[in-house]
Amino acid sequence: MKVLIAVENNAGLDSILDKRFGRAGYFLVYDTDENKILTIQENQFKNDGHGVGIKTATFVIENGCQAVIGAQPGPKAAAILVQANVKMIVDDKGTVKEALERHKQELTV
Amino acid sequence: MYIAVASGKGGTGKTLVSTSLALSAKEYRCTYVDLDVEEPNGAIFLAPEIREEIPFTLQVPEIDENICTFCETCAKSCLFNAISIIPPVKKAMFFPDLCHSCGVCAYVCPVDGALKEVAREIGKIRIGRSGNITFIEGRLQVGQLSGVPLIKGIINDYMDMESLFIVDSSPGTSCPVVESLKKSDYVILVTEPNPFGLNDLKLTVELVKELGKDAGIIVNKDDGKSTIIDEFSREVNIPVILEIPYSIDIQKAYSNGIPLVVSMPETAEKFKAIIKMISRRP
Repeated sequence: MKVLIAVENNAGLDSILDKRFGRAGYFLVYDTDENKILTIQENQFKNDGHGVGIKTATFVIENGCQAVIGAQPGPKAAAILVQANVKMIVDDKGTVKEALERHKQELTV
Repeated sequence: MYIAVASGKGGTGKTLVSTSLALSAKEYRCTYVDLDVEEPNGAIFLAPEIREEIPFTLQVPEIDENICTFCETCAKSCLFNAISIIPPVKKAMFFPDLCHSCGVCAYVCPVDGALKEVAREIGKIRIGRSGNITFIEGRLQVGQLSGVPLIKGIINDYMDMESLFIVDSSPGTSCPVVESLKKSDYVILVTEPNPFGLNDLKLTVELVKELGKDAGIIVNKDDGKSTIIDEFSREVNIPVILEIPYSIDIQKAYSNGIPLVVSMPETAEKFKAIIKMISRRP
């Protein structure tokens, strides 16, 4: 499955999980079937005034991700992710590598 | 004439001043307008007889998921991200908090009947009379994020007649206050002689200068000792037009809903003089 991970920096599997979801520094898309990073890109909405969570949630859906690992999303982003059946894994600690290991069970369907 | 009563700091006496001004304006056709829509409290002191209560609504989109093709044109056109379309699950979500009622979604929607604009109530406008004063109040619904549309609505629709308007605005210097001051002819800045009062007065003076408004300062709860407001007044060249003493009697009466000019009738002359001074400016 494709999972979007909200991270602080662009350092591959060593990227640090961001403390914020919608306003995270970068979005990393990881494929758990092929065990590889598909893309990592800077968050374009980070400095927008309003509706950042909504844009981020839309970004998740547009990228075809079925799961998200990141800090607690706001109520609007969470509502969209629920509607879109995206699994939300709330975690903002350590690196991408550690987080993928920690949530291995939840990421295998 | 439109006199706005403002203050950076809350609880300095905006309502005390504006209700007393309205009650001292017997020679004028006077309208008291409570634009502190988040917490309107002028009615406590003026005890108006409310004759009309008009719901205030904004136009917002309503999307019919049975007709919508989930093309996302509306969501992509919305500058405030108020609409989210989720094509894979055929869902359209609307977030009223973010909507500015600009109507662009309805304008760009390419599918007939998929998106229509509906009225959404955000507050009420109450109109009445208190003696010979016309009373108008905006009351925002609890939970609404912005009172600006309601304030704008009252100014545009109810303040176009010939009258002396005394406008009680919200505290602070943010959008609702800017909106309440924009069309005013004179701004009364209410403050108190302590560092908090001074700090917030400075912010309000910046706003008033930015808007290019003529203004005067009223010092409330004046202990007769502190001179910090007088010094600032000279520095920015905005006169102190009234000092209201720090008095337990005023506070007692006020907390029982008795306006200052009623509990201390001798102050009425001073408020009258202020209105006269403002109306005679060149």
